[in-house]
Amino acid sequence: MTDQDNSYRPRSPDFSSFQSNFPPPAATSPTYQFTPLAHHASYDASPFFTPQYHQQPAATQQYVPPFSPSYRAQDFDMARRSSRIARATEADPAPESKYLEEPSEPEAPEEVAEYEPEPKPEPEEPELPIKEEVKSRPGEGIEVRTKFPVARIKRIMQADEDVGKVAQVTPIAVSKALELFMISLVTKAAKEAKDRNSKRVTASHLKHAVAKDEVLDFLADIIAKVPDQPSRKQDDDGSDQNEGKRKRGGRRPKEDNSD
Amino acid sequence: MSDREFSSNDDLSLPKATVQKIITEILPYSSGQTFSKDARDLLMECCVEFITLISSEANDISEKEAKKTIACEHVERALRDLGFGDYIPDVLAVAEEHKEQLKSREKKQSKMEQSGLSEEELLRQQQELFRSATEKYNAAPE
Repeated sequence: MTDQDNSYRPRSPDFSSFQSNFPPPAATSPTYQFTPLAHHASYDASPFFTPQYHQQPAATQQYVPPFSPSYRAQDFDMARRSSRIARATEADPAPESKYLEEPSEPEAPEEVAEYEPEPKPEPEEPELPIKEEVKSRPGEGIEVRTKFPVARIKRIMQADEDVGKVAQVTPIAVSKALELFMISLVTKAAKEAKDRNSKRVTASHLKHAVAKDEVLDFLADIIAKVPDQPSRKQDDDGSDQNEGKRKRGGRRPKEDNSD
Repeated sequence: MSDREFSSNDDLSLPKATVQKIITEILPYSSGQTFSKDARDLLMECCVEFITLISSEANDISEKEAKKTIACEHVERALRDLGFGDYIPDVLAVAEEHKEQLKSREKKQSKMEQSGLSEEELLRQQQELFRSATEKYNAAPE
């Protein structure tokens, strides 16, 4: 713009009148005001046009190297430089100095206004999701959130004809004991499977795990029904029946995870 | 074990979905291991057998004490006798928690019973309170 003043002002009187009209709207909308200046600055700074506009070649060489039209701040810088040059050549700084100072002021508060709403006040801590989760058990380092239905436990307890009345807490206590019992059985069976390089825990793994533990002797009758063979068969390849059953189960991360 | 425990009566075995859920909590995907269906069914049988064992042992203990109801302490002793002593702390903790819950619930329910007064006595007290309030109101009106 400033350079245009240099070259065009004598020729086009309309443009100078436009310039005088320009500053007043700058106060209301500084951002909008800023862009034409930047545009002009980059345009002026390009080496192809400078020889035409500037009478002084020394001044051109000063500001050509840092040219980069993408950044606003740099454009602004260049505009300032060109204005300085314009001042030096034309000695008509009055409209330029006003024009340049105005956009520099609103620039800072504008950015602050943009940044402030972004960091919102810290969200409140989410409520504890599940009550059972809060109390972790020292048992085996395994948390089981799913609980057995207490009524069912009580019914199973009282299926024994000898068992009479049961206190209200008793099935709850038994259900907890059952949970720990299950953790120990599943963990042992899983270890058994691991020792045999099987990713799938089968009934025979469970059987072997039970057989190893004296405390679990009471399960002897139950595990006696489980045939021993599937385990050996299974070592070669997954036995067909089991494979079919597993597909129906729908859970098979076996192929992906190897541990 | 008798065969009615799992085969004939479905009510007397554990819910499959629950058992499966717990198994996957113990053996998550990240473990890389899966629990086969036949293993799960066997596990369920073992669980039912475990409940039966504990309750029959606890029942014996309570009978020896000439108690008609199986209490938590009987389960506790049964667990110890059967070699599951390491379950006891957790079991007792859960039982204690439940008792606490019951206590707080009962307190809320029975404020009237806690006063230890008959209904007539309470009514009379209420009438007295009304009377005294009326007197106060009449004595110092605004």
